[in-house]
Amino acid sequence: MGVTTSRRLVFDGVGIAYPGRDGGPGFRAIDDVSFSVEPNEFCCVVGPSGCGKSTLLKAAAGLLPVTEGRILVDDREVVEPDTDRAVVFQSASLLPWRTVLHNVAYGLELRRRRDAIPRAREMIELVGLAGFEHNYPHELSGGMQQRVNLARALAADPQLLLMDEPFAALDAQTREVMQEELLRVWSEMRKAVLFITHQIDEAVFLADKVVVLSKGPGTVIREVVHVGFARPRDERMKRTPDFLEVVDRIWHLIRNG
Amino acid sequence: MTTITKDAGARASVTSNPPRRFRRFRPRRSFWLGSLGVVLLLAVWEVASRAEWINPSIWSRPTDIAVAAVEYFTTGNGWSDVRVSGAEFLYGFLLAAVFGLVAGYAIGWWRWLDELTEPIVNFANASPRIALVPILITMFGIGIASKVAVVFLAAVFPILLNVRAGVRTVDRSLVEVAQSFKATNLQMLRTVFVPASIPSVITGMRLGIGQGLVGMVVGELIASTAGLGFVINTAANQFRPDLAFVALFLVSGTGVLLSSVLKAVERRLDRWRPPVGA
Repeated sequence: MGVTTSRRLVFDGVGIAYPGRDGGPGFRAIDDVSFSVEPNEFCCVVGPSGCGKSTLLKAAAGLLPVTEGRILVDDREVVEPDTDRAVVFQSASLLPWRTVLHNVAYGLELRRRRDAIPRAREMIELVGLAGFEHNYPHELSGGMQQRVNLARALAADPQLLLMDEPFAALDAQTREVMQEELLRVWSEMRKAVLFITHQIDEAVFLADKVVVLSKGPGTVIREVVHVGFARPRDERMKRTPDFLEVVDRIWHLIRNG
Repeated sequence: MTTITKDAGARASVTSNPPRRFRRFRPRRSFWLGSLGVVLLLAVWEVASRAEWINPSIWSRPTDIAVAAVEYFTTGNGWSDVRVSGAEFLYGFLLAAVFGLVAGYAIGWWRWLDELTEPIVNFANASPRIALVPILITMFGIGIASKVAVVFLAAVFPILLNVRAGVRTVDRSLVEVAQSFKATNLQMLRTVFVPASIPSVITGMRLGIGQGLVGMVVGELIASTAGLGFVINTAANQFRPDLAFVALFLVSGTGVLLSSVLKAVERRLDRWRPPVGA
């Protein structure tokens, strides 16, 4: 669909500390994290709650500065948000005064792109929301709002998709549907994805590679687990012994900190 | 793919939009009940006055007030008083609205500016502006200028403080969305802060109208040669409560009217808001 090619995202010795109050010692959320997301790769990050998963993603988006190391997109260091990356936020964070169509077109409108509206329509269709262009966010269910959230990020035509626990607030059935939908959409776009989640089975189902983080604060990488299951994948995969074995292994990694 | 059918079902309920008919019904009932309340009050007043349970030369009565109103606008100074008071209020309020909006957005946006001005704003907001009227009259004379100043000072703080609060309480996650798309400051203001703060802006304007009208009347009561407040003062001194009530009702009526105009504007601008409560 897109003419753009995927990029490589590299975390190189990244440490992130929040400044302490009144110049006191800061809170070290991330200590030393190095891994990469290869072009076209689907990479999930899991870890115990409070380990700074979302912090990593915000830093990759350029919304939060790193205190040590570097984050690179191809060979350019991330210092601020840019059009090569787009974020799918945890809460749908849609502008409530804009219709679905204008929410999806938002990123392109800010860039004054003439094709903002036609492209937004295309993305709305892609995420299965055709017919809802003129609805306001409050008229949509949680799952539909997250589809808009995804479409908004895709419309901006990024080379890297940064997804911050986008399905965490959804009910179990909607979440499973959304996972399959995401894989379908991704197989059509083939962009590199960094996907944060606390659900191990979600990570294993979606990812080529799962980065397992240690307990925070001072989070480091416990292990990088490669997931080789064939694509396209569907729901039934989640009940195979191979799948459960990988989930179990990651579960033990997280549990033992 | 099962969701597509689920979504289609959801869509039917979304687009059929059931609340509309319901909404049209409610104001109709509230309108009739509200009118009934007014009529009952006027009737009690009229009867009490005619039966002399209350002293008619002090309390007047609705029919006398109606007669006085006709007289005031045919042979009296009605139109010129309304023009004078209207000009005072309009200029004062427009100044307050423009200044309050600009300053409110500015101190909401720049933290340092807020910190710089906060003590002044708090102090000025806490001071009774009506107490400033004698000083303003020595500054600007007893003509229209002093009343414009009173209206401005009365109306500007509710507007400014509400706009600031509106800017401050903008959802941080929406700001992050705009940042992630590399929005410029101007785009951020236009696409996030202004639409998000509209309810607070309208609230500030509504409070500003009420305060401004009070300022206008009090300014005229204290020192003036024309206007509705002037009429209230002179009529009361000449034992013409009917005429005083005419002027008073004109002021209150203006307040109610402007307030409902703003409410309509808000509904127009806030069509996206989920219908919650009343």
